[in-house]
Amino acid sequence: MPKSIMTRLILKDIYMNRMLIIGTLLAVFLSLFIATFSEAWFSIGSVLFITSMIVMGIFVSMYGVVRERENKSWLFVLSLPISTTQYFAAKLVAALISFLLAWGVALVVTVLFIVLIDEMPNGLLPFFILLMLFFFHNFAIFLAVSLLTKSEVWTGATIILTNTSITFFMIFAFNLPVIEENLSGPIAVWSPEIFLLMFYELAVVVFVLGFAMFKQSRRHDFV
Amino acid sequence: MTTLAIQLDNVCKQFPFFALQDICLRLEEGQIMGFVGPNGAGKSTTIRILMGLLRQASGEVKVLGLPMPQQQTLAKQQIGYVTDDMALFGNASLAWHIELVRSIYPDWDDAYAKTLLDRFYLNPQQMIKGLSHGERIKALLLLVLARRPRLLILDEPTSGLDPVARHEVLAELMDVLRDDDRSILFSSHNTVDVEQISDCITFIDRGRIIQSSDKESFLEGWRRLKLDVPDGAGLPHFEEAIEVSTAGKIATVTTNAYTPGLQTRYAQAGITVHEVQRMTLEEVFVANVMYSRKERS
Repeated sequence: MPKSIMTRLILKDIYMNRMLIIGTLLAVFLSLFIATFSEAWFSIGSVLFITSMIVMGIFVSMYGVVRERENKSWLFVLSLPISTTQYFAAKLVAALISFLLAWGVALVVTVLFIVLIDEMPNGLLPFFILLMLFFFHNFAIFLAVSLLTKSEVWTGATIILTNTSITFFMIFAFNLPVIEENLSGPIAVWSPEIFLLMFYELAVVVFVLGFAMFKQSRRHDFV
Repeated sequence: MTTLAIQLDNVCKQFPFFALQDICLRLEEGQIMGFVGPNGAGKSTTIRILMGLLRQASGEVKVLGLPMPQQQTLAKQQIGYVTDDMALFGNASLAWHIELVRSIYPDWDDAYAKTLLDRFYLNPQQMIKGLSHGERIKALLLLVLARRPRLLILDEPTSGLDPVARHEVLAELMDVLRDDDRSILFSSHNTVDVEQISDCITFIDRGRIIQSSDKESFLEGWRRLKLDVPDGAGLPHFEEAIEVSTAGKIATVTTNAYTPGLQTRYAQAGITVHEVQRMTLEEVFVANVMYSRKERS
């Protein structure tokens, strides 16, 4: 029985996030569409794309976890036959699915866009994949903080830090010789440093989400 | 043997500025307990321990025979919990919430849910964010009552309701009580509501249970005596008299263990008993809290 309730709670959260997922995908499609117009429009499209990924990452956690706790609708959910650990597991899975739905579609569509549109250099692919994984990395950090703390200061600080880090990460990635030399080239060049960075990004995702669940499973007081 | 819906034994829980101390509480199946205390007395903390949302530092908690918080998943299948600060999802309709809860509880009673929708004058298609506080509480009650729980835990459910909504909610609870197997723990600081529906009452203050008994014992035991003390006659001290106030020759004595024998003893001491007043539950509550605080200090 608890398993099916968890599934229902996960579906409930995905349903609640449906407009956010649709809105993000519309913004992604629009950004790709306008990116083909000219170089200037490519920049505008890139900003729109990056913004939609950031907003998606923040809003999934804000609406699904933080707001549910602040407006006390989590008391309603916790009154259902579910343990507190199961509640947090459902929250985590639902947030992951909601984010990954939009993120995954954006990733696949954009990769196809780069590969299929002649004007788009395939050399952009490693940088793009690294950036997408960094959005996932930042989302996981913010989700973990949202699950672990009730503090508005912590959640606010995490939003600022993760958003600021995107600029630094882009500068860092752009300056990697393998990226810098091949960004406008016709072939995607993958190097060990790129794989190492990818590994780091995914390792952070696994670590922070695992840590958040571990801490929640050891918590005894929830209100 | 009587089955207990709620059993708390020596439950303690510490916070930086508050502590629940040695809470012992028993609610038999089929009973309604009014859980009364001033703001910050520990009512919600006790209830949250019962629901497994807080873990007791020590002591034993059983709900419907299941140890908490270990068996909370199983216990919550048979508990309906509503608190005045509990919220539903603002961007979803009441019908959506009904569907969610119905899919979780196999005993969901569709016909009863429809009856409650009519009685509470709720529109299932309305979004929750458009409901008033009273309508929100009624929606929450509908969602717990229609799943036919064995135990209802209601934490200040009538707080902030207008008199009509309060009457409707209490009337529905009275109706629920026709089922002898259903138990209710009803927390409130509104003694009028508690007096109306409870058959036993527990007072809590500053993290301690100060008295727990059936309603009739409270109302029978607590009395206020108006005495005329003649000049030169001292007012004797009887153990049952827990509070005495005097104004000239008139003395007012409050007792928590009234028997007609008390009147006789005052008369034998040369004191005229003018009046023996019954006390309302609110007066009993206030006197009880003040007496307990005096005793503790």
